Amino acid sequence: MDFKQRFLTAMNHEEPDRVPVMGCIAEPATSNHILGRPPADMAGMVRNPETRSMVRDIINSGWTELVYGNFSDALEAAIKLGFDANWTTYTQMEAFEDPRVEDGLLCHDICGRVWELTGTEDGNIVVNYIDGRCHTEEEWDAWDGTRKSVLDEFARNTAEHHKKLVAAYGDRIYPVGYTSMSIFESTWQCMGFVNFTRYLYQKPDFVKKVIDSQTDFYLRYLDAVMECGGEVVIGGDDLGQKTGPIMRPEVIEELFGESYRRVSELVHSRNRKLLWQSSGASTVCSRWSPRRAWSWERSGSRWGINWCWWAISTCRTCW
Amino acid sequence: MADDILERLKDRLLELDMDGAVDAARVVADTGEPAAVRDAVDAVAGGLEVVGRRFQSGEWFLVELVYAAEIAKEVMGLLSPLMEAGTSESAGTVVVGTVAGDLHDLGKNIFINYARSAGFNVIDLGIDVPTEGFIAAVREHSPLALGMSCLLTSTDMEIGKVIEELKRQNLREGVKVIIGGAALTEEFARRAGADAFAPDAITGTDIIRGWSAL
Repeated sequence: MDFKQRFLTAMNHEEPDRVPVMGCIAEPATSNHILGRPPADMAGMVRNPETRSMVRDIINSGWTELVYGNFSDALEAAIKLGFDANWTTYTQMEAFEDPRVEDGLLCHDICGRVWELTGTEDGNIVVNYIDGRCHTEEEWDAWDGTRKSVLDEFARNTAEHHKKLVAAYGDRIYPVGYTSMSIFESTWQCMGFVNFTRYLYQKPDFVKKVIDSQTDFYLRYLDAVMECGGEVVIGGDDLGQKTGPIMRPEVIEELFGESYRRVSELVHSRNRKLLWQSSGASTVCSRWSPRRAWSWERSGSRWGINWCWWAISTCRTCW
Repeated sequence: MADDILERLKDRLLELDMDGAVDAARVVADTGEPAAVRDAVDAVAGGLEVVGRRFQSGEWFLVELVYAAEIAKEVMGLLSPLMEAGTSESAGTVVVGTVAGDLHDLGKNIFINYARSAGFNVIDLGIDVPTEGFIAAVREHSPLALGMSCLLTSTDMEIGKVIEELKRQNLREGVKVIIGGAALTEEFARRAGADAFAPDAITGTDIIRGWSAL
């Protein structure tokens, strides 16, 4: 079996010649380490106030190329390790200089979230979520209105990104498109967690409006990823934190169940398979399941997903 | 103060009814009696202890834990200004901050809410706190405990730096160190030389309560 046959055989719930390995390499720090390359100069440049604006301009004018380069390196690293597959994703960010990030840049993504981009002491770039852009319903309405104007371009870039990676690496590894900006996570992160909890109790209709919009966005994103022609697509959501699920499982089902069912239906209507991941959260939910009445099997059949468990290679930071 | 209004305040908190809890607190505040205000603060603290137990037992989840703390914050916003200075004995001072390079504050803020409701005087240093910021605060406040929060594996080395600096300046013996956050583990705490690791805010509050009782 070659890497693709091995991966797809396992996805069909049949036994391959050996256990296929799918990497989750995504960050420059990991790729650089595996490929034995020195970290990119951008890390030092972003820490230096005199060159920071240059990095900002590179991000804002050449984002598509940067993300392609990042996943090109990730696939090269996965090939070097002998992996059968590796995930690939496309996101969209705009960078700003902002006093909140003294030694780096502030970035806005297409889900209404705010990120800090900094360089580490060992020379790598790291990006971490810090806040939402929409702390009130008015801010959400205004922002969501402006997002609509860039959706076509985003979908085009997403599709092109994955098509290019498949064309360049598809004969050596199986790149699996991943919709990394997920529904639950984007919903709470665009307003911040404390606001999210307040609105859940005080303005549930507003929360539902945000979920619906993030779901519509996600389906568009998913459709664009599937344009690359791969038989499998990865979706997911981070539903847990260090010691347990973030929300009561019944509430997750009530608020997000319909969204996940739509995700599953879209993938299956395109005759693809859906690989669903929840980072550490799935392990946590599973561990807590007897006590918390969380049933993956029940949720899976309700949302039309056959659960497939897989391990994540070491991640340096939280995405 | 009539027990029924205190009961109502605690019940509304545990029902996650913010308006009801604030209304009950307003009735207390309108009396203007310091003793009544003190009883109401105790009722809120008692309510949050129940919330903490529910969270630890798996009955409640993070969303409920955070919203209960938000209700308590609103209620305390009404009651705190009416409390007479020195009427309440502090369980001890705790200095808390998120380490340098890390801008996350959710876990730290939940811990602060619950520690304050347990009677601790909490000095919040905020986020992205450099080593010297922690050291200066320990020197100034002589706290029972220093709490450091860290979400990122890329900044976890900051915790060791602070502990080493505490030792170098002969401050380590006088302060307990507790750490928490997504990047950290019990094993990390041991290696870094911390006294305790808190997997969640409620456990963290229980740990410092234990130190306070020593």
